[in-house]
Amino acid sequence: MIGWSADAPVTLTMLRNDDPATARTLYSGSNSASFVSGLEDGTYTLILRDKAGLRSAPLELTVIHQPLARALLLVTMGALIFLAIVATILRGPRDE
Amino acid sequence: MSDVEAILPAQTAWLLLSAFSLLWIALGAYWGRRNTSFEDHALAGRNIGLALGTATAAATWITSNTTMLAPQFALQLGIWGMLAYATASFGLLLFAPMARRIRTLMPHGYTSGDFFRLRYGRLAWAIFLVFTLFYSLTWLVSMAMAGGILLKALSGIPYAWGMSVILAVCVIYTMRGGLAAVIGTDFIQSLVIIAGIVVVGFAVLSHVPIERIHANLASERPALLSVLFPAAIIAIFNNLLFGLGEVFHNNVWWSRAFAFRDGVAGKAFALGGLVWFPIPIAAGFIALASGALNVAVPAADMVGPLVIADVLGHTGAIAIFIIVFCSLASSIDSLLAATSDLVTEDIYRRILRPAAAPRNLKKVAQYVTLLLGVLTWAICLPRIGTLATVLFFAGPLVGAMIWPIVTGLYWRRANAAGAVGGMLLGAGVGLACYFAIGWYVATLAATAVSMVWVLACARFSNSRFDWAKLKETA
Repeated sequence: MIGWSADAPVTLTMLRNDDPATARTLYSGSNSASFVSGLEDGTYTLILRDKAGLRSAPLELTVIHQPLARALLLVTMGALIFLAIVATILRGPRDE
Repeated sequence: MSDVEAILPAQTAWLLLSAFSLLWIALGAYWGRRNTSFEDHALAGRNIGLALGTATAAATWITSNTTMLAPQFALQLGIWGMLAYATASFGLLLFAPMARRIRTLMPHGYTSGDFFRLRYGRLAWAIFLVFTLFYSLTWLVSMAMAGGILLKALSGIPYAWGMSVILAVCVIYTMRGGLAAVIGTDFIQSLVIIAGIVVVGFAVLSHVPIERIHANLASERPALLSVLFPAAIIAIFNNLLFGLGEVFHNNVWWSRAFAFRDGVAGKAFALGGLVWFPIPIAAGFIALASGALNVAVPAADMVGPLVIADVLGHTGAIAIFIIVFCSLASSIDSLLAATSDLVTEDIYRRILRPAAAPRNLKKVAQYVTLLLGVLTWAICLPRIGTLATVLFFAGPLVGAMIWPIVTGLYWRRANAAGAVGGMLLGAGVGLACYFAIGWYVATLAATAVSMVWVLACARFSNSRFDWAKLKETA
């Protein structure tokens, strides 16, 4: 979540790796926050402008996702535990 | 929850709140009129049929988290996040065969505490009570707090008033009507919630085609569509195991297994799980459409109400208010009833007053419900904003109880050393991981450690449990 304080409506713009061609407007209006998610790895620059064209200092945001190998290891572990639980329940009483 | 502009006038909100409050209290009084004993009050006479059973399983599991946190999960973790949330339905689906087994082994049982006491002895029972009371109280407090916060965000009703009204209404009808009132109101609440979510889902689809939603996500939030989004795939099994632990151990679900008519429990939980599964997916889909609909989202936890209000206007604001109120009430009443029964049966009857008469037990359960309500209210009033995090903290505790319960129900060689060690070691390692790594691995680590210990103890055990010991009569 990115927050700011402003007395008038603002426009929040974001560009990736300082490339002007990637610039896009994230929000335009009188709110004082905007939620950003789902970005790929990279460095992003956020700039706030008011109607008169006054700009805030750029805010740099670096996105680094968690290592995929660790994620896949945890998923495998979770899947094995889950399958063991399912097998125990579906197999039913073992030594009655 | 961030401060955003209310989407419903306070006057309309008060009108809705009053109307639904009166309805739940009147129905609670009506359904509770025949309760004379503790068994009637706590287990609705053990005579709940399939329709009510299915509805109460689904409605209790639809909390304010399902309608508010599922959209947040989708917005933060994408398609996988949405599916990760929906995996909580496996808790109900897998509890279906367990409920059949519980009814067979414990035809006279009252609580999940009875199982631990009879199956593993007093030490395991004491640990179980500490874990489950901590979990139940934090869930209850987080729901009541969410009620006050959500009503304020949606309509501007002051936090203290919204929280107090929701809690008071649930306490009154649960005290008066016991589990029969809880299950009866759950039936109506589940119909309202499901109808509301379906209407909202179709309304969103009619406003924006799915191709546009996909194109918007691909250009602006590409990671949400990624099959290998690391944070999202990690969340899948952690969330799934958290859900299993919650359902397998908690008296909310065991009391229902005891309350359902013979032959109903398995079917009711399986159908309840199937009914519940699409709800977080529909709620999550609403969030994913926010970009294509150009809805500004100042905070992730408000994305659901903001999209609904944008698509359906004033009608949508009324719909989300009713959905939220119903999902809160259906969970708070169940927690109040199940926790008061647990305290009455496991602490008052089994420790303090073993000779208490059934009629007195009903009165005790009613007073415990009132006390729980007052305690919850007192904790919620200062609005400590971190209690949702405390609920995540309970993940390792509930994860560590999965294997002692599953093996205890099916294996004669499962023993007290396995259960005690599994719960303590699992919870300890899980909590260490919670602080050292993060919430997203805590339940997984707890379940894994508990599993290894419980299986090792069972493998080397010479004892064989006599199932007849679980058939204890009152």
